[in-house]
Amino acid sequence: MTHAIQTQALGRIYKIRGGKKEEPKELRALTDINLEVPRGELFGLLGPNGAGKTTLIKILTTLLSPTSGKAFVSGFDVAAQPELVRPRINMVSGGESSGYGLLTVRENLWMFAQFYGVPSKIANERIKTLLDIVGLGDRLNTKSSDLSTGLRQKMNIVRGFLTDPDVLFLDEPTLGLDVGASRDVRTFVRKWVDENPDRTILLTTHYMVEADELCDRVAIINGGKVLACDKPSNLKRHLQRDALFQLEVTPLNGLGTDSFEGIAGVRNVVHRPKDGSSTLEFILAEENVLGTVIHTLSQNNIRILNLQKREPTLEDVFVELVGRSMAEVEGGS
Amino acid sequence: MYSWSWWGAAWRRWKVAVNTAERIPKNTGWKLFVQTVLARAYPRVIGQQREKSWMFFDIVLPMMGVSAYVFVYRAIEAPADYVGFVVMGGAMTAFWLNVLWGMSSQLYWEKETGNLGLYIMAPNSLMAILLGMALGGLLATTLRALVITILGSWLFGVHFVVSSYLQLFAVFTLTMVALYGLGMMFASVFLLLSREAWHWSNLAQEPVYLVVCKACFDG
Repeated sequence: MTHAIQTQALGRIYKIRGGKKEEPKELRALTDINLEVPRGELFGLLGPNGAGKTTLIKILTTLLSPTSGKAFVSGFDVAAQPELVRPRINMVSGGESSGYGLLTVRENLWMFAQFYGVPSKIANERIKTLLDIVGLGDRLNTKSSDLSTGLRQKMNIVRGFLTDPDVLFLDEPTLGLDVGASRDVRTFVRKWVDENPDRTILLTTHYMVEADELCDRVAIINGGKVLACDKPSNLKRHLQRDALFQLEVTPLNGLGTDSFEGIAGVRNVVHRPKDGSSTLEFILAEENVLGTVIHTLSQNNIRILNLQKREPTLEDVFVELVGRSMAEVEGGS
Repeated sequence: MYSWSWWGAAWRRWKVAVNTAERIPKNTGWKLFVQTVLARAYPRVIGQQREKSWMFFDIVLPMMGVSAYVFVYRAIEAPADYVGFVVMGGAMTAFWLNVLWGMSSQLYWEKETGNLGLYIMAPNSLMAILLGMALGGLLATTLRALVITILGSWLFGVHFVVSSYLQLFAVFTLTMVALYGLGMMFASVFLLLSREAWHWSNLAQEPVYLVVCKACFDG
């Protein structure tokens, strides 16, 4: 069976030019990516900013050539047969401002449908149906420049589904959206995959909840490498033998996480400072290691304000794999 | 007796079949090319109807430039024919400015807004996109040029005598094909070489003004 998406040892290196006399520097954005996404799957790429998600999407959508390896979409080589890949795909990016502000929602969508050869009559019918589904039916004749960020993103989402692609790439589709709009978009995306079992979606996100809630399988990517790839439940199951605790404590007063990492049985610790307090998230090999952790805190005159044992999330999986939280990776700390 | 998994698989196969059957038809080949050209021309033509400020920037301002030349020629007692050249020059410069700002640097702006990626990713030809841009720009600018010509002729009492409409049409068409062809080529060059395309447009704009001015004064 042909996979919807398949990559074989895919790599991409960017050459960054410095000054005139300087040699161009190499930035390795993707290294040996091997993925197989069967038809009908909602596949998630989860990773922090700069992990290589967008580079991978650009290669798969024929916008960028790979430096090494191969990539196939719907069975066609994206580098050698882009003209066969393009009619079968579409892409929506988060925060994009595509289209023209002077045109109405309907006109913008009609224009993009024409680029895919959709006959006008069918395009107009589909535009109306899809806009109704995402709750934008009453904005058909509103200029797109008059839409809010959330509504504009809904219009972009409709643009992606309008051309009935075999494989749809969603690059951070809920970026910058409020909670309600994000939920609407997620509901629509999940429904579309469920109702169209031969269509495939590749979704990139750095929102853990989004990946957990939506995706059939998730690949965790960081530094251009795929660190793990499985169902969200399976990824989390690996951590279920560990004990996860969240402690809200008084400020750490200069005490670093290395003070805890030295304790035997502490697999990982993430520190999130807040106003007037700190949150410490521990992944412990056994529950009884918590005693040593609490002892270390009390030795340093740090009081515990709240203690919670919790179920593992994809964030914990990421911390376990990378050694740092996604926010820390993005912050470069 | 069939198991639940068998029924599940059968239902899934049926749904795939139904969905595949319901796939929307899409044009390819020359039909897709024509659709793309018309769709890309659409925002340019319709945009002009919606954004009325063009009347000021594209008619009033060029008319002020034309007026300045006319008054200079009258002051130096140049032949009356020169006023006609100035009005025609004002109209034709509108096309050159459209080629520079609406064609050459356009793909750069499309890249900034995120449209370029969508254009490249779509199954159409990028040539159709460029042609659509050219066609839309040409139609929109023709209206502006006509208004400048009519207004200039009325204000300064210019009368044009056309000896052959066929020749006029042929020369105009040839000029436009060459000019917008140049714009299509520039669009690709700008995209390839330039991050700050407007500097190139500025660079290309001034020599034409110089040539027009010199032609007017020497003429």
